[in-house]
Amino acid sequence: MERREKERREKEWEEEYEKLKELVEKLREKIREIRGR
Amino acid sequence: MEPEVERYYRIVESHLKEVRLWEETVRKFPPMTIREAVRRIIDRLDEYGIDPEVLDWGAMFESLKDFSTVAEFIKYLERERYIPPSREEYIEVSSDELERELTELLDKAKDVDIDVVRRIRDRISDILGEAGEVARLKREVEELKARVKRERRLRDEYARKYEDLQKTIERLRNEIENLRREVERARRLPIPPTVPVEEKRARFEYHLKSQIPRVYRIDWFRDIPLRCRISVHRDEWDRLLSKIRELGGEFIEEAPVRPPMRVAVVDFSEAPVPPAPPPPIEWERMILWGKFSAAISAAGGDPERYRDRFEEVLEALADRPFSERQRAVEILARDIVSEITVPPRPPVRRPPPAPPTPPPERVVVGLVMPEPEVTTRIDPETGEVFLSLDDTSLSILKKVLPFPLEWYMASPSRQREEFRWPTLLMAIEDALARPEVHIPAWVFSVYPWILEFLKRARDRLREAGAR
Repeated sequence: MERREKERREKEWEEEYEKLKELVEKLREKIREIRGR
Repeated sequence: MEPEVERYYRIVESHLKEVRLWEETVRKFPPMTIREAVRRIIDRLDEYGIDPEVLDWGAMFESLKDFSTVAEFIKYLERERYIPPSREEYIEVSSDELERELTELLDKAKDVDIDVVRRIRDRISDILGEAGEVARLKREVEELKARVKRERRLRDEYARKYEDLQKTIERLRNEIENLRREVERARRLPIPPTVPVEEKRARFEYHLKSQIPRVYRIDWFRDIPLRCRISVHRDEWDRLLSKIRELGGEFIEEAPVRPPMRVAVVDFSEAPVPPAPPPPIEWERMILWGKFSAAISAAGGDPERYRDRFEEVLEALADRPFSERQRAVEILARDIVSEITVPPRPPVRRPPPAPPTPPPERVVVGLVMPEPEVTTRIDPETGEVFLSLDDTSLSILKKVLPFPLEWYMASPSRQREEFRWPTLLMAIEDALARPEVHIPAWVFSVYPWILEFLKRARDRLREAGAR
């Protein structure tokens, strides 16, 4: 039970981190646009 | 070549011929390169909406022959204040820094709690919106740059837009830097225990009831801990739905009841935990005093001795947000700790009995402005004696102008040649010319007199003949 809960939390964390990475990538693209590359 | 470039090139040519420097200059730089230098200077002036007529073009180009490249010559003109620094370069450097900060931020976020990751995501989402604004400004600036060469009347608009662009990207830099610092702090904290369901419910209730009038009841389900029925007056229905969305809740359905009441069934199971309600004012004081006295005690001081300074800061910032007052108290505590923890002097053999001296005057960093004084210092690397400011003034400047300690201790010539940065006097002049760019916003609340202090420091240095 505890292990399942731990796995669930880890999965949830990874999903959140993936979303963060995607957003940061979008921001990077915007910065490249600002720089003009 | 644009007619304006040609016009100033001709002025340079005729002046250099007059002072018999033309031959020497064109031996090193062919006319096309001199024209290129003229063009780059005009571009730079355009970034600020400065009329090229104000420059003494002939005199300025007399020293071109002393440089090996046009880029070096342009850098020299910047240093000597003939032309302003490049906004274009600033945007480029800022973009590089933003990218670096983001890489670091993402890396550091690997070790933080899920709630912090969610918070970062929300903030990045806002920042993304601002970056979109910067990109739009940049496009407008680029368009104007092309047009301004043909239509000189657009020069002011172009400069204004460039200024906006610079300020917005500066704000973006600050935001991302703050976010990175926040993540760094979060990494150092132990992972907080999961917020209990009762606490989560209380927070949702607080955010709903404190911001929407006529929320009559919130009844939580027994089987699904974060699902509830919210009873509200029908006039507030739209506001309620928008607040639910803002809090990250899911609207499930509307339960049928008699008007004018309406009932929403909402699920907050997937919503991030909302922030805790702000503490009342007495609690804030207790929290701040607790932090302040802990820092002073840890450094071996008696917090009660410094209570008046603590009260002074709180009083001066009474109408400011808690975060700002907290920051001011932290800075005050740091200042006091550094006063307390002055390293002991090295032992001296058989010291002569010291004559009784009056106690040193207390330097209050914060509300009372210290008077900047010029003093001589010795460069630790070259042994050169130079004019600088006293220790108290330098300790304030170190917080305001973000140069490393070594730069503050270096002579003006080393500051320029080795660090390739302005001298102390130039840095102060820069800060005064554009305080909104060079001085962080928090400084004005902690040192309300900072501009007057910088002016006096500049005047003292100039009067003493510092470079």
